[in-house]
Amino acid sequence: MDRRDFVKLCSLAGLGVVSLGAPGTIGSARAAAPKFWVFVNANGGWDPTMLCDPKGNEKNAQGFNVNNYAPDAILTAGAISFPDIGNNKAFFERFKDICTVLNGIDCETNGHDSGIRNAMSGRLNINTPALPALLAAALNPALPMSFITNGGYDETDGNIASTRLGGADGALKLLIHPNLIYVDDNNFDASPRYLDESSLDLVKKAREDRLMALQTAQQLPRQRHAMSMLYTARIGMSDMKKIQEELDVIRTQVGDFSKYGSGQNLARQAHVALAAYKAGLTQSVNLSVGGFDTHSQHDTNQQNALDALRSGVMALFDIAEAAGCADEMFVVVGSDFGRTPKYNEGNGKDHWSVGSMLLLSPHIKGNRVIGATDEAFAYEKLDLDSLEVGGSGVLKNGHVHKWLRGFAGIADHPLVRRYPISVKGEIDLA
Amino acid sequence: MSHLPLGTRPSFMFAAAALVGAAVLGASGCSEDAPPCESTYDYFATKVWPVIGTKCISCHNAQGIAKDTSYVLKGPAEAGFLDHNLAVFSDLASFEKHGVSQVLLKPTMQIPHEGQQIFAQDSEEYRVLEGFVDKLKSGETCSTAEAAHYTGVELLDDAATLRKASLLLAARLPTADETAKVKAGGPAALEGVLATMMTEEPFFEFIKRTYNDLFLTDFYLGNVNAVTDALPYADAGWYQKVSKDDLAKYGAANAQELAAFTNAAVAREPLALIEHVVREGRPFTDILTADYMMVTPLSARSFGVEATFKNPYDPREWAEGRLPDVERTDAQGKPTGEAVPYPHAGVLSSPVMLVRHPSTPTNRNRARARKAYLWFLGTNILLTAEQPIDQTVVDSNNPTRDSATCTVCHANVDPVAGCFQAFNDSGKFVPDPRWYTEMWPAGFGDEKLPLEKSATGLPWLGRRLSQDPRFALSVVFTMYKALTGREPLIAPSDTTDPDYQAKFAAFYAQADTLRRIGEAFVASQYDLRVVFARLVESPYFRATNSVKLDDSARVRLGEVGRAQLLPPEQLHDKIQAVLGIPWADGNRNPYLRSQFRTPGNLGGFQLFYGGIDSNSVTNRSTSPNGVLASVAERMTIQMACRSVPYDFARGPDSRLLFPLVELDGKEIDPMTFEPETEAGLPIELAQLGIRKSLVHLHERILGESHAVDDPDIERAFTLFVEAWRQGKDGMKATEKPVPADLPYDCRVTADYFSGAAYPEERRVTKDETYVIRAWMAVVTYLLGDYRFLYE
Repeated sequence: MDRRDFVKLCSLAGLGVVSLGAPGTIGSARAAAPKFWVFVNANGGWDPTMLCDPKGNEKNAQGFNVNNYAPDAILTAGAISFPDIGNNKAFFERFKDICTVLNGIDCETNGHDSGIRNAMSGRLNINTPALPALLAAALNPALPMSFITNGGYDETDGNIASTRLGGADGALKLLIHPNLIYVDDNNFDASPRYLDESSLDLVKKAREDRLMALQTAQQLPRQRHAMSMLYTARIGMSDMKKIQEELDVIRTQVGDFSKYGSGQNLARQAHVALAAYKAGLTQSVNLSVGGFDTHSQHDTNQQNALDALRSGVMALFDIAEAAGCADEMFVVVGSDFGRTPKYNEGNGKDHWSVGSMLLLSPHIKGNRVIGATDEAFAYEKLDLDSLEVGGSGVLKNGHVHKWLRGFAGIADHPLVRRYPISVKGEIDLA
Repeated sequence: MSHLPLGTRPSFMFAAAALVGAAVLGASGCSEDAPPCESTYDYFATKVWPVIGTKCISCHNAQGIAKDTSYVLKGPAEAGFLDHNLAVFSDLASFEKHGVSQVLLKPTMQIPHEGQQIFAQDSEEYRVLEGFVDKLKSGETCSTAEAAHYTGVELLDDAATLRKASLLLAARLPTADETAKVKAGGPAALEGVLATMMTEEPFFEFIKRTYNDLFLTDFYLGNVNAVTDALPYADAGWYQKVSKDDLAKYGAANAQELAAFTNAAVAREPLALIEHVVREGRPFTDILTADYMMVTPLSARSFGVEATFKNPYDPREWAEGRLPDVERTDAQGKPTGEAVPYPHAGVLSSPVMLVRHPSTPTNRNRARARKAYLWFLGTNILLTAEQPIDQTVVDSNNPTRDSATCTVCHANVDPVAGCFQAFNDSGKFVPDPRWYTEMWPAGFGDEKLPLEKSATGLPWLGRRLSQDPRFALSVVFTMYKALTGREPLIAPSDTTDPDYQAKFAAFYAQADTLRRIGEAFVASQYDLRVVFARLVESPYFRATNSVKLDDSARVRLGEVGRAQLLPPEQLHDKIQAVLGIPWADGNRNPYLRSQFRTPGNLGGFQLFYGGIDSNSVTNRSTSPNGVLASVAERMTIQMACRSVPYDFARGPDSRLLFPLVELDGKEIDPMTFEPETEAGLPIELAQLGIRKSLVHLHERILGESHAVDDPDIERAFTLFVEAWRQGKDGMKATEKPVPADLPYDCRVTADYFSGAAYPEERRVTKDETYVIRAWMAVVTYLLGDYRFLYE
């Protein structure tokens, strides 16, 4: 039985697959371009003034300097300003044409948990699924690894199983071929097997029959849900072989990841994620990088973290280009919140409820900055219709997520409507 | 056999016990004779709370404009909020004017109310509150049966409950004697058998794993240096100077291994304290109040602790000890010669806990305080302030003290943070701390930490945390999650949600059951085993199915039932318990749990199977995915391949999977059961034997009892026969015939554990009839079953 048959059979039997208490979650959203969604979580609360909202070291009206670099170190790439520190220049010059910078976002919190939740879901409420989880659940819930996560905010609220793939090492190979005693790379067909393949086919059929019988007899929703999750996970196992092929193809083209320096970790995450996408198994992915919670020695530590982030995002696009799918990708880069506009006694910066977000994709207009902050790094009000500074609106994560949901075609999906975004007004980033 | 001081048995146990074989819970009232009635508590929770939780709490909360009145409510994010609110509301309701309660007069503005009129005298809200006042006045003593929450739910019988509890808590199957006792003695016998199981080593491992999921101190196992991070105290690195003779006494091959033993002892210190408290039968509150820590002979040397050991060279022996006094320094940092005792406060003052959860100059122990609320009061303090905040409009110089958007959290967090003031950012004890005067003063609740106790803030705090009613609930919450894989529900707050009533019923059913368990825990003098015993009895552990449910009932019973994907460590235990051998690599290193001698080394598939590393991966996966399913798939295939021949290599009396089968008065080995003749004709006796063996396999692997003609047995029988036929045909093939030899990884020539070679006649290396491999197909099928992978 293939996945489509299973879903049909479940429907005939009145059994939901995957969804818990949310009818109609199977593939009812329209397919939307872009096809692959990547969310990069900069964990700990980054400092936009060292990335895309530079201020410089001149004392402001409040009598303090936001940064330690001089105003003349502030450069531009198209419409985007950035300080000439770390690898900012290489980053923005490469991506300016596909990059929308959102500055002056009112993050509405300075707590880590709620901050990254708000940045990645558009809501402060606990148990809100991260947008990549919602995208996977609404657009392609039957994919075996529809939502891959490497950490960051990856709450699913039970709507979809998240997958941790880890690095592409030997263990993954054994999982891709669970019936092989070991994988003979030189002669795959000669790899010894535990069970004869024909027996294994019989086992799988018997399991399907048994699980269906159990689920049909079961009334408690938690158990029915668990059974359907097990089936959905199991039914796609064989697809994992495709990941290995894609990993090898990409690696051959991209070469050694050591060239990404501190971005290697993100590069490895991106490698597996894109291989899974290319293999047709994945709708969305969380990439994760930390080190941003710089309460002490801010400039050095923050710059190190930002360098790793930028190098990693550049690696992500290198890999996507090697895989031939950079045009299909939409990348959201965000963090918990920003850092305070002044340094503390330990030359650190604390939590600040104003932040930024980057959107990188050929699917939306690039080379623009929306929103702004003043010299003390407080948000400026906007006209939410024109997106010009000077209105009465306040840009929030919820606005961005409202638009992202609509852009992805999932805003009216029954599952997504269970998590309404309460911000007033809407913005159009198309 | 010991029995737990369980107090009054939950009413759903009586209801279930009365329905032998069917065990479906039905609604019941106070007694069989009285008509159904609703207790004041139930009435308050289900009817009054939805009113006051929407109409009153926006002002009547700890930071609201009515914060200085005697009517201050707590929100759903705080453990035990219903109990608190019931007490406050009942107190207020008892005040009357002209015979009418204040809770009716104020919101209708019959007497002055700063919040003006909230509802009218002819409103539904008024009627609800009036009903509450009437109940209070009548002094009713009705106690709604707990089973009423779970009407229609079918529970596991006592024997099946025993099997499940045994696998989870004792990492083994119950013995035949234990099962017989429970079948004969019912719930009381179950209670007694469980009490014994909770004295076994795997139970303590379970508790430690549960608390490490919170503390994450196992981060320091293995290659991370707990000794140097957590120990500014004494001769931390003593093990580098040990003689070869002493190394041998410690059982260490070299100084590096001795260092690893020491490191593990330092890392495991808070978990060892929890184990010690439970093992010794002490009140569980000791985990926050103990005026000692736990050390091994090795960590004692690193800490400079004097302790008494039975064997001073045993790296696994734990004993109580106290950290040495710390010398006071003057304002210039010079030692004064005055010694100050280390302020032990159970796990709160554990060096490795403090270093694992460090602070910063601006965080000022707030993260530690937040975790104390979460772990020991069951309260996620950040959820008490889910409303948005905007730092840019805060005009106060000291917002955490003066701005309402900040004080909602900080008024609770900062005083507790102040109790940690004698410990610096990296966890070192500082006898004369200088705390921040602009912060909320150190304390807990309404009580301030006396200034002269600034060095002993943690023992002061530990006593108060442990006596807070929320402590017992927090322990119940933690163990609930450990046994079910689910977080306890938080009450829904959106009363406009069409499912609000059903969602609240789901919350309230669970809250009511967990509250009762908490009360039993307190009544038992904080015996942790009582919490487990009660949880095991509850529908959250035992529910296996229900009558047909409508949409509302599906929401109401959404949390009930056995649907926990086993965490990797528990799946490891179950595999070994059922099959007799573990799932491990060729070097005996387990795939799903850390290695025994080097616990810092995780199993090869532990993270893939949803486990944590206490470092970057700190949340367990509770749903399967493609990778996790592949891990399970490999396990089923590999373990069937290994365990089936291994079982056939055992003596007939010690078989676990394939005991001899009695057929026509003879005992026959299932290894000989060819189902058909060469001509394809059925061999009736062998087929009956196969079915009987399948009945045993379903019982052992899945815990299911079936007759030989049950559809489940028929399904497995068909699998056996078809696999056998295909294999036999394959063996006859002229091109690439299926070999008679078993796959090399499945051959059995020696004892798994000792490595001792078996004599030739006991070895199982060939399968000339393909019967062994047909059994392997069946065992692969059963090991991958929902009821094996889930509990």
